[in-house]
Amino acid sequence: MDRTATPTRRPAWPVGAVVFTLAVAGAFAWYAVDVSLKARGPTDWMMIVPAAAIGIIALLVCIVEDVRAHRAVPAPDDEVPAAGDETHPLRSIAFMALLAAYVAAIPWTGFDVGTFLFLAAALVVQGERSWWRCLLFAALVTVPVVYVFVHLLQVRLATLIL
Amino acid sequence: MIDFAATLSAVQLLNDPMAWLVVPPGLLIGLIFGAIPGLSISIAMAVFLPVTLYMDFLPAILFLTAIFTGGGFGGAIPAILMGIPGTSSAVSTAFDGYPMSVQGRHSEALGLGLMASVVGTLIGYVALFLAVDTVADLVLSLGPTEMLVVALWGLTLIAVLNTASVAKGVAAGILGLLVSTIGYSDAGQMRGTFGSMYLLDGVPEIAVLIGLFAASELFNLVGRDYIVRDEALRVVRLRAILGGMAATVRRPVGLLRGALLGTAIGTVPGVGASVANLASYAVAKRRAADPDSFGKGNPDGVVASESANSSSEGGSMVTLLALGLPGGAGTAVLLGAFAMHNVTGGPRFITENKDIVYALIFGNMIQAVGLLFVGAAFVFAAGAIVKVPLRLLSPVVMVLSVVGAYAITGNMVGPVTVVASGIVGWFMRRYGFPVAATVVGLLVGGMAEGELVRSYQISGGDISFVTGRPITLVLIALLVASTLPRLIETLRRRRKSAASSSPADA
Amino acid sequence: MTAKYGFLNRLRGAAVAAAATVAALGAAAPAGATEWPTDPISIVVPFNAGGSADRMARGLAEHLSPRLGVPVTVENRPGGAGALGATYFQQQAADGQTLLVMQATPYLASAILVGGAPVKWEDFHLLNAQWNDYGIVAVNTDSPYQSFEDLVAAMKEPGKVSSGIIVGNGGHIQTLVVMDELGIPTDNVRFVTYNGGAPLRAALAGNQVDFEILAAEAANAIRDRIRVLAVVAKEDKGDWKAPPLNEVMTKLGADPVPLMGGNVTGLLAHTALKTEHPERYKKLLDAYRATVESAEYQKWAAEASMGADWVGPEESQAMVDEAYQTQTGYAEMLK
Repeated sequence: MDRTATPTRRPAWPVGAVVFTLAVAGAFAWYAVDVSLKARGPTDWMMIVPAAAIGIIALLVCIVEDVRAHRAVPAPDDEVPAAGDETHPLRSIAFMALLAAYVAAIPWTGFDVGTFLFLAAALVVQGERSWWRCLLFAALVTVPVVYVFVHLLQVRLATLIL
Repeated sequence: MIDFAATLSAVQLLNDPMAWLVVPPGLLIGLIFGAIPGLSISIAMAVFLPVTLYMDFLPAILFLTAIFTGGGFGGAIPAILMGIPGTSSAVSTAFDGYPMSVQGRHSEALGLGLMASVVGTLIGYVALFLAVDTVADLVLSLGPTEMLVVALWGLTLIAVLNTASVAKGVAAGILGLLVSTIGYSDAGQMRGTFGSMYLLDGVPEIAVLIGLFAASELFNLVGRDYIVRDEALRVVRLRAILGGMAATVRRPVGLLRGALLGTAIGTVPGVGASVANLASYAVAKRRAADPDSFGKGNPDGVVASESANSSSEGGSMVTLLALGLPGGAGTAVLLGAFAMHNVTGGPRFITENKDIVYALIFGNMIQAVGLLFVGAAFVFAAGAIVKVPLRLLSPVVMVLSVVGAYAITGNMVGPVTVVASGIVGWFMRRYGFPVAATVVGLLVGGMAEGELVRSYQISGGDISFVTGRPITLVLIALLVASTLPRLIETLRRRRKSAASSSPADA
Repeated sequence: MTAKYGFLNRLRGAAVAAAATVAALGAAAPAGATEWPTDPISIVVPFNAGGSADRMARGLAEHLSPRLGVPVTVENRPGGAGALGATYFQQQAADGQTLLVMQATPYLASAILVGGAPVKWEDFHLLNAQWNDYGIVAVNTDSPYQSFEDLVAAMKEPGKVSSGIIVGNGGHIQTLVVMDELGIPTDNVRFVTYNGGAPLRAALAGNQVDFEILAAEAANAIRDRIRVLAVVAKEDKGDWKAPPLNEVMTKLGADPVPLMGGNVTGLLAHTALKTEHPERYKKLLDAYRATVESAEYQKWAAEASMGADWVGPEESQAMVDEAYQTQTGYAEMLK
């Protein structure tokens, strides 16, 4: 399911899918082992261990399926993504990283400064060129959001300035 | 069954103008909180609960239930317009509502959802009115083994909602299931908390939902210009909304089925609207003449989902009033409101206060009608979201999700969960794993494990215990009878299609 | 030269006099200075709005405020079954501006012993065991057990009896304590674990489990569906028509057991407050006592079905310290 804007040379097997699937299977296994080691009796693991086992088997089947599908002769791509509808994995990853950075920074920047920076940066990542528009947008959203949450909803947001 | 003296006295109680003044603001608050992904009904209830301290009992409860009612539909708005459920009760509304929006039929979808919600709420409360006593006894007789069967039935929803391969559906479901076990279990064991007390309560469900749907969806939309590609369709037309509402009424079977199913599920404690909408959608899909059209913009899907999540409100009120048992987070706050006014639900409460109970029921029915008007106006205004370019909308939705998640958990666990599930959700979608299955696993998992453990505890590990519980056996028979035939047929169909053509695009 | 010296002398004299006056005024200042409290006081509740601790806190906030002369607000900090709120409370300065309302036993104790909250029991000081809810030993009305003796006889058969509990709460520990004293192995009873008061009550009301030791106040909601076999208190306070637990225990030939079936809730302060700001502590305590003993608070509490006893700090603390010791003994077993 590799829908990039331009076709690239395909690797021999679906690397991304397999890595992800193995990682999840690994997490299941670790969790099941951790729980059963700390178990005081059957009630502690009776659902987790069998479920994890089923999950791991299912994931291994997924890997087989994906490899098989990847190797099968690809049918002519009659579903060309319409213009403006393609997914851009790199941009998505950039956005994800930005979001992660935002959340990680909040304990230091507070919600107000953090949100402001995130919003401005988000526009930049999406291609907005004029920097003052980015800052204006960021300010226009941050101020009401913080105000509503802190003053109206009485949520104790950590803030630096507001 | 119907106590006429109490009915009359209830009407008298409702003569209090205060009881009516609070309803429109309540509906509006519910709509707003439901419509903003990140804000949820539980936050709204928690914020406004202290305010109700200064009101009398009836207006206080009508106010809170109005928030509930508004929120029951509010969550559908972003679900339809952006594919991001605003609340956990609108998850399956997105499955067909969002494709309809992309096709430019968003006004119609909103109208469908609104009418379905209104009718659903009404039916839920009518059911409550007729059956409150009998249902109470029925619910009490549900022991751990019965509840386990109910939970298992919930898990089978994964199979019906699954659009990918069986293996991927199972794997995604198990992921949700295992995540739901994190925290302090009913039997007293701590799992996956890494020694931190922040995860004692487990992973916050709503944050996971937001992350899985919102974040992963938004990550994908980065680079797309607008939700609706065709500019001409990017308007909200009142006529289309009304058309959608009329279309709902032209589907009485689906509407009624969804509403009744939702009411029934609502009465089971601990289940609630989040499962009700998924279950109703799954049942509608199963029974449809053309199941594959679900997920591509079939109005029946929207109707099924919205009618069930609204009627489950009436259903959960039954258990709340009759047994003092909360059905979910929202009713738990209602219980708190009851307590603040020195009212504890329970069989005694109902017998001693029939008139108040009836007043609540009638008040809520009228609220449902109120939703029709307040909701229509709100939808008309909210529909303008499709006109906002995505590069502005996406970051704002992300911010609201993060801040909202913080508001729910009171610490950084919320925002971190949103980001983590967003990233996982993105990878899942990329590699063809159905996110809906994870949601089901997450929502039903806690109940499933709790009941499994309790069944083991109460039977002392002895399976023959079940033979002494006729209700359990009946439920098991029903479960098998309803799922097995379709399951076999679906497997047969998959094998046929897999053999004849290239592997279907997951 | 004499004039200069004289002038300087007088200057010095004036300076000394001025200094003396200032010193005298300074010593007298407390009498006229602003008294504590001047800022709003916050009561932390480690649970969501609407629960019993929250309601007690709000009632106290309302009635305490006029007696202290400042607004008193409630701050809900739920999470970790009380652990997060208790931790947050300890993170605040011990200056009397932040107080805590929660069930000292079992929830604070459990938060420390089981939940791993990074706080110490000794740092909490219970000003008053305002609400000492007691427990009852109850069965469903359809149950074959008519008396406590019947139940005990059945418990001696392994696996015959089932009991509903919430892990680590008062009822659970009380059951263990009783079984211990009667020489019944813990494995004889099939314990079924629930995660809240409401499902626990529903299980008993629906006759899903054979018996429960649960909080009496909460049991009122299902009064019509249960039969009480014993009251976990010195006397039958709630007209349950059942004997006190230790009376039946003695009849069965066993020693009396510590009583801990219910919850002990009240206003808590930092232990350090008493040593670091004794006058604030005293003022707080007096205001609290005056509030609880006032007629209008008693009326409010009666309507809210909430306790309003005045037991005093020493006795209250001793009471919960004992319960904490007992709970510590069983904590290892529960983990």
